[in-house]
Amino acid sequence: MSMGQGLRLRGSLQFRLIVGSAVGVVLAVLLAGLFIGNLYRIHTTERFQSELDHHLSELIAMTRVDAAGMPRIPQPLSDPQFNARHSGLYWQVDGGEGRIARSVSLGADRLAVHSDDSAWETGRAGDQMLLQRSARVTLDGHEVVATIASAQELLEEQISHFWSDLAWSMSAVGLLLLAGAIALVRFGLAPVRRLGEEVDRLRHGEVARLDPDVPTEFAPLVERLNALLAAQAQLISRARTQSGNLAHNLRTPLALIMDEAEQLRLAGHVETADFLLGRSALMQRQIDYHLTRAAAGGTRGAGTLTEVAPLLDQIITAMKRLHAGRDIAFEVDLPPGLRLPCDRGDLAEILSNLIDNACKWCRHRVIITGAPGGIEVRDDGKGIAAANLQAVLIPGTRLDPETPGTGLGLAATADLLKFSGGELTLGAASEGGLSARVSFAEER
Amino acid sequence: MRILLVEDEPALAQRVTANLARHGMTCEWLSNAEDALDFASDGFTVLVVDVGLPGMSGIDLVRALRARSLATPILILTARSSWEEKVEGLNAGADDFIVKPVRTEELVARLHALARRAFGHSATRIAVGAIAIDTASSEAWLDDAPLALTASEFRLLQMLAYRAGRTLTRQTILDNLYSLASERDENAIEVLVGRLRRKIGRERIVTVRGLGYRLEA
Repeated sequence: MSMGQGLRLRGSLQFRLIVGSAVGVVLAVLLAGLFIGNLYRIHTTERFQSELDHHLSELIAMTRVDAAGMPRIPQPLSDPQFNARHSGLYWQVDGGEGRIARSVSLGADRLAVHSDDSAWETGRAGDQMLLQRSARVTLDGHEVVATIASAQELLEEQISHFWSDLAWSMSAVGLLLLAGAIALVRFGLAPVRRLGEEVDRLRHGEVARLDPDVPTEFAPLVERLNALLAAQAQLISRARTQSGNLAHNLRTPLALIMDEAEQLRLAGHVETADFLLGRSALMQRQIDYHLTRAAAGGTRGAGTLTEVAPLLDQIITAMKRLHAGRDIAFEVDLPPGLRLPCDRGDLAEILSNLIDNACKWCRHRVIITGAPGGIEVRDDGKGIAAANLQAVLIPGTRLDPETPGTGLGLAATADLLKFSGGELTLGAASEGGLSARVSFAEER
Repeated sequence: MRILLVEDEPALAQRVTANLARHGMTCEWLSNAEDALDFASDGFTVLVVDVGLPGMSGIDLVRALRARSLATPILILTARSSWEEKVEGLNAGADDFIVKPVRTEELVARLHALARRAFGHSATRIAVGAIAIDTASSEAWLDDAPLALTASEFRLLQMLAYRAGRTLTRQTILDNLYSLASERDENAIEVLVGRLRRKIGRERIVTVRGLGYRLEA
């Protein structure tokens, strides 16, 4: 995993929730395991001791002391383990002065008794650690100490088995809980993911506003965002209208001034007329150039993707009408679903300029090819000499003043592309004419 | 050539009308789209429609006219230089556009180009038998010899040449030569036809009784 991916992951809400849940589940399972294990240990030890108590009571009840003070057990105790050598379960009755009776299981060993007041204590028989309890009783007029012992490993083994089973069970429970937590996090965050996808669709221009059908917690956010979008759209629309009105308000008086200049020329005031017409033409070019730039800056939406094919269809239909008197074949080759990272209005302006330019200069063919991140418009006309390729990108440059036009097309296109993070590259087309290649750095 | 100008700015409309008249065109002016809808099919050669009309926009007017199957060429006049509006106008059914402020020469050239296209001629020079005319320079020739025609005679010859082989009614000729606002005299048509016949040969313009005149192809 790269550092960038790591940082993105740490910033992810889903990652944080899953890690938080995992830590919680592990802690809960550990605590629950410890609690259950301890509880089991206490209960098992109590049961173990209770069984030994039962054996001690049975031993005392069965013990007889003969006249010589020798303790005797006429019948074997109920648990057969007393009769199996080193089985782990032992008894001993000490009549004092070496008079000792003991279980078969004890063999030659003796149980060392430190306390005879019924307290639980540890002892040893051979290499076995013992848990033992003794009781001082008087039987048949003699005082004896009866002791019951059991190997501690029997108890520990039982507890250890339980711990092992408990660990597996708790791990399984932990994993199930973790899976449940992950599922819950994903389910809980699904609306956030959907909202993210919706915002992406908005950025790509597929929808104009966010779907208001979201969980209640997000509703105010979506509502405010939609209100913001509506306000922004209104602002853009107003800016467009205002720039349109400005254009209209400037052009109409300019038209009257130019007409007046023409009238002056007809009346013989050629010098004055030419002066006025020259300045008016300059004003017209400035209006066109700056309004195009203003419109581009005002309508551009960050991250907007525009699908090329439908837009190109509209432009080509318009161009066929505009150049209806000429026999022009349009050849289009676009990858399916090609989208370019540019505002629709700006892309329409860029493609229309390039295609109209190609139509004006072509002999019969205009070729439009697309590739991810770019589009190329070529024609089979005479092309532009390499030395003039940069000059046509300067506003107002017209290589052939006889052909109608403002000389703004390619310059305005290059300018618009700069706004949209793209680039216009002019060169020679393989068909003989101009190749105008539009490229964008990357799809946003 | 008979032009219908739909423009809401009276000062501009009057100047355009006067300038077109100076270039041998008759120009009728309407200031709104609603009137243009009723009047557009009245035998105009080209319609010039301003996009920014009050009420119904120029683009909606073009769309409505094409929906009525009107085939007359339409030139849209726009104050905006953006292609989005031009593409919209062209796709609505306009044939060309021109961005304000309009130079008269450019407007006249565009109007001639649209008229030629509508009548099926691609070049500015149109030849009908031994007669040839150049719509751009307003010159005419008979058997390659220049013809000395007055402006009215050239306009009549151009009108007949555009529609060579087809009969033009006296009313159509009258409408194309004189605007509705001017004094119109149908007898003037006959006088004009007579003068033109004397210059290009009587037999070349055929009188179709009760209808009008036809230039023999």
